[in-house]
Amino acid sequence: MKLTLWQRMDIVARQMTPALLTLLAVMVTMLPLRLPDFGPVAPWLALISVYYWSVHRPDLLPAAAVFAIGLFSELAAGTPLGVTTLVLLLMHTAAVSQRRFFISRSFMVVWCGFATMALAASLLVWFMNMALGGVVMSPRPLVFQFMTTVAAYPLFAWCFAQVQRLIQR
Amino acid sequence: MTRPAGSLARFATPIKAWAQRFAFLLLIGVTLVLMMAGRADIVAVERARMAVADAVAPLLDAASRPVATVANLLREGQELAALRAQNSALRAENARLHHWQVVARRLEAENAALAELLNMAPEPHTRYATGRVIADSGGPFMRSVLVNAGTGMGVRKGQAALAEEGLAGRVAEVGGGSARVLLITDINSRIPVVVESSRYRGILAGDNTEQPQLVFLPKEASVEEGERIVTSGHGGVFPPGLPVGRVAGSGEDAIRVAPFADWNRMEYLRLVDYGMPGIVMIDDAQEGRATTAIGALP
Repeated sequence: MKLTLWQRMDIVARQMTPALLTLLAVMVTMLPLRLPDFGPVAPWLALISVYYWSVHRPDLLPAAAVFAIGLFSELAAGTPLGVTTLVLLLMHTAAVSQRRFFISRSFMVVWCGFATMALAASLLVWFMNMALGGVVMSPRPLVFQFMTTVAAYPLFAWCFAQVQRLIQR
Repeated sequence: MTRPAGSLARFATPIKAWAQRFAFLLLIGVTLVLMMAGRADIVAVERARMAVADAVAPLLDAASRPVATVANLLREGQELAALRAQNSALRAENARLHHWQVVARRLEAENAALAELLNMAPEPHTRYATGRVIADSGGPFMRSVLVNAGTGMGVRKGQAALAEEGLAGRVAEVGGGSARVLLITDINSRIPVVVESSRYRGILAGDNTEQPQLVFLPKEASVEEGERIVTSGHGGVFPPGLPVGRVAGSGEDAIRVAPFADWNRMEYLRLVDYGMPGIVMIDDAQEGRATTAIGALP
């Protein structure tokens, strides 16, 4: 069966959606929302997106895409090079390796899995920032960011689930 | 026919898994190399950062506008309730400022006359470039913003960035159409300052909290709560006398300064071109050397 150009474009668009959504999450996090004291504790949306797609459709978000998105976010946001990329890559691998376990379980289990991995990711970011900067940093903003990220997971997971259903047709 | 296919799969599957694992390890390796490169302050890294920032600046600019509109609407709604009280407060303040204006004019004239009398070196000419804040670096370990003004508007590395109320930060990286401003609260920020009334010099060191610390003050210095802190102009990059903040209190560990700049309503930043040869020149020279070094490679 030969596909028309339109059909091929349609397939490519479907395949690229998870990566583009993750990229969008990075951009949204960068927007100056100017809510009082929200900036430093804004949820880490890219982490949510990488986890969700790694568990549900790892074929559409390969490690190379995660790497590219992580690198883009570091270059654009001016954060230390390599830290976000490494954490996102490890998150991706961890989620992919556990997906057989998650896929048959309820949402609560997947959420708890996310919370556990997000905690590990936050700790890793904290340690690496301290190691690279050579200074001791207060973990306070990080704790709040971890909490907002875990709290934001259900909403974004629901949105991603709608998108997933759309691209599966 | 099923046997060869099965045996092929038996070989292919581990190879595929191995290739995937190898690709993953390769990516991890590249990440670690990047981390080293980022630490080493390589010029190429900075160029890449600003190239990406320049590329996404128009997108962020467009996206941040509706966000700013909504934020302004919300704030206006809140302010509407306090309109009456605010109005009378502003009237009182206006009367006070009129008085100050008279004083300032007199002092300015006096200052000019005295400077001429003493044959003082003239202050360099100061120019401003104004940029809209289009992105927040986000994340708990970084306090920086991206503005949509770059070298095209005369922005240079090291320039001071002013919010409405006072000093906000310093230009850390600059591209063609965007610049990254490291805020004074960032852990890497060091600003030479002076206590306005007593003229004690010190360094304002950010530590990612809302209130940066005042360090390297002389031993005999005693700082009162509420004293104004302004830039000292040492280093020749910042003009002297830019308002920075007020001493918020001296705890047992450090003297903290509450910046005048209001981080939550910072929509525009003025970048001050102070026309003094300071860090800017040194950086240009270094960059020139680095590019020639790269160019000389085979």
